[in-house]
Amino acid sequence: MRNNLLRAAAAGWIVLAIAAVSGGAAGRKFYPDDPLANDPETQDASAVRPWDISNQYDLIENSFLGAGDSDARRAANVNTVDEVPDSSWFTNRIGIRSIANDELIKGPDTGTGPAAGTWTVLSKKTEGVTPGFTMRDSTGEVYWIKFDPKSNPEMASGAEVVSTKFFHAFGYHVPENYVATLRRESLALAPGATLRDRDGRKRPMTIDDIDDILELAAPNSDGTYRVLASRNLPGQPLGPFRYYGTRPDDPNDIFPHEHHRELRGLSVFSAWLNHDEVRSTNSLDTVVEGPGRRIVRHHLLDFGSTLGSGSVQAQTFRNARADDLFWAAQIVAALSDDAIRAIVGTAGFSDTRATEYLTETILVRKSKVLKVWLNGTNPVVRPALSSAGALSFANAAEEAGVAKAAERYTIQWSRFDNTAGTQEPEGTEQTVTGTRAQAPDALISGRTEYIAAQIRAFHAEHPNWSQPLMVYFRRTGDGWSLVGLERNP
Amino acid sequence: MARAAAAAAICFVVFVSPPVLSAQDTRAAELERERAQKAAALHPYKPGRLENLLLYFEQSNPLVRLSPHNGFFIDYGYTRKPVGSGIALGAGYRHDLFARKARIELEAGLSVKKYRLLRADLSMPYLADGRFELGIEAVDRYNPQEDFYGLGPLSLREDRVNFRFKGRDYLARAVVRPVDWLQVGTRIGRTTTAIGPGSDTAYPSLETRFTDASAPGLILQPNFNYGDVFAAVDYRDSTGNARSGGYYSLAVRRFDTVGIDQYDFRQIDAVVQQFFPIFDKKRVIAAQVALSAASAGSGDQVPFYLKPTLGGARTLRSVDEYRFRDDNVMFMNLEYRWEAFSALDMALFTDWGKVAARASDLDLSDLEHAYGIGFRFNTAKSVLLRFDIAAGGSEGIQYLINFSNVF
Repeated sequence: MRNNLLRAAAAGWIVLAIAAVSGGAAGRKFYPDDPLANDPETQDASAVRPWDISNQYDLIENSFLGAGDSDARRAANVNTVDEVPDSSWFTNRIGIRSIANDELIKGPDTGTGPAAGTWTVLSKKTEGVTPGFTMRDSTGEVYWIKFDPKSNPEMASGAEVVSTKFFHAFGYHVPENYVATLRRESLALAPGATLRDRDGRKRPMTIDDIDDILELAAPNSDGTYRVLASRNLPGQPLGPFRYYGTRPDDPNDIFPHEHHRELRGLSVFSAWLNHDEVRSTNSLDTVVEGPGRRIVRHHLLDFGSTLGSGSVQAQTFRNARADDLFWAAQIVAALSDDAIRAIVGTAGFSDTRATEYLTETILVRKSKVLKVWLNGTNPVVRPALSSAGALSFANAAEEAGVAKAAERYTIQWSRFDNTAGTQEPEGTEQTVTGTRAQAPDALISGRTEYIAAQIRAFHAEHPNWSQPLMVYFRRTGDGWSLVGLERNP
Repeated sequence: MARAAAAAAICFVVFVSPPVLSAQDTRAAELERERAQKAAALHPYKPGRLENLLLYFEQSNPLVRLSPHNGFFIDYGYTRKPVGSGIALGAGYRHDLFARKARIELEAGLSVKKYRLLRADLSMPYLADGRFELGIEAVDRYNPQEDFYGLGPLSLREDRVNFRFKGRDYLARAVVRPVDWLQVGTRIGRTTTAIGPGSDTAYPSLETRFTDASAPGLILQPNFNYGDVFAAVDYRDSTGNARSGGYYSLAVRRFDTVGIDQYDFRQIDAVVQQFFPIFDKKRVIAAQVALSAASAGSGDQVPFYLKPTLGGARTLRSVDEYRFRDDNVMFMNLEYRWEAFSALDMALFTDWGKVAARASDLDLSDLEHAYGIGFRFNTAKSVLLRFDIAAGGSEGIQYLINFSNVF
């Protein structure tokens, strides 16, 4: 009898223990701190070690060997309202707030580029197709100097500067890239500077080697050279990141890269700006000091081949879903035509026709990007529920001018049980012709903690609009706050 | 037993589950827990064998080490390796001399079909900042199984024979490059030739089926004083895998026999290549027109082994290499190339061409032709492997594997 009691007690505790773990883990959809605006790196990444990535292997693996998880499930690193929290990968900028042109033009820049005075050459650039070298300016800052192809002056440097500003505005971490003027007489050779000759043999660098590099560049009429000066990224370089998997020695890298929303969405930005060199070797991880710990920051590099100045089909891009592409297209839409003109102006092209042509091309491509990807799924955005139960939302495609207003919207309201994850429909499906609706009184006046609404849009020319969009509102002290949004749930 | 289970369960709830439960109070805590779990199991990345191998190739660049600009080298193929000679290796020594005032190249080449080459070249290629070059070259060539089908457009495939060709050239050259895209030069020297039985036992040797009348030069192979002048305009974006630009060349050659007066002749070679890029060079229309016209004076003939040829992977892909041979040759190639992905270009192509005894017969009638599809594994600067499938001729479908572009 005593044993039976003990057995029963043990069984009871075991059931309780399992329920405590599994029930808690699977049951709750929203946490009190949802939606997260920040996903901070909480672990120290001091143990991370530099690595090299083979360009050829990267190509082969991404093209043929099926690198990464091919399951195009919902992006893993989005918060509950379908946005990307700020992290070491991405910082929300133009996508969430209005940014003045001055700030867009400034981009990642913290200064004005290499200081005047002596530029001490440290080594010859060995990678990429454009000639160049690394140097230390008169203030001690290290820059990577790249020249435009002789046949296309201003092209690559202009593309690099303009695209850097764009990708920074999108939210990516990018280096400070400046158009600068090089004077041959300001160059000096660092003691001990070496290079690898054409046969791969290391040897001391000479002043003739610098002249050989300059020989490959087109001088300005006054004998100076227009160069692209890329400031050395802060922190210890670790090598490129991969577009799949996670870094096994970085404790903060927990979402497979092929399931990162901002890496999937990179396909949209790259299509817009003709960035056909999205590959690992055009990225760089660095270890930087974070709050009380060292963390890995992930950067995109090398935009010199964008904007027609110049592909790897990564699994990340193949995994991109309509909601990933919509997210990126929204960011593109947030850049006004005026802002685009301002950014293109930073290229400093000597021929204004080049600036005009590039601007117009980017604007035309923007229109196409928005037309395709804002209409690729349900375009309802910014849902809000007032304390009185008035639902309002907007149509991103209509706002961007790439579609006419929806013929109608349908809304199905329901109670949402956050613990069980179940929905209980309330009333019948509503149909409205505008972007406003009223939640049933039973939901608003009752003690319901969470309200869910499934919204569909209908337009004869855009069948993808009818895909369901799920929104969730949580009761707050004085009304309702958006806590969940699932496009293509 | 039951006590132990109960104790374990209690311990689990007390010591394990509380942190789990608290970790799930917030999303941030949940993510932190995941990161803490990963922090306990960190390990360095271990590349696989293939990745290691490719990394080694990229970092240590063994191909450059095997074939340096200065030093002992080994190359796939050798200088002016004849088409059809099979897989070959070249090796030797080359180096800039006297602070880049001169350069020496010593080279030996050998193919699986026992084609051989010995070559010595001494030059001053960097005069006037590389704008002017002087050089002398000695070359000894041994081609043991060259193909021959007879002369003219009506030659028959069934008449295929082979012959041995030995040649030795001593040439001096002067080349001027006033601008990057223009090259003008001249060469003069002596060339000796000798013909013998072919070594390819699959086909008869030439002398068993042809006579000096049907293969002029079969009996007597003279030595020649040789001279040429040439000019080339080249503004292609890449010489090995052009996607835009053009290449136009013209060469006038003169062969004067030494000691006899039977095989003096002149030859004009003209090539026009144009590359029309489409869609940011991802697609290219490539066109080539080439003409070779040899003419001998009254009473003279062009030796059959020096006559221009038509056929094969670079000229007319529906027939074998050297399939047609005569004093005059004309051919045209048109390709539509597109990038399938960054390491592979594909192409649809058509070739047209003919040979004729008289230059005036090089018209657009009765052209031999080919059409087909090609696969080119490439880099931005070169084609590493080309596989073309050609049809259109009377000799069946041709499968061609090469290690360079058509043009």
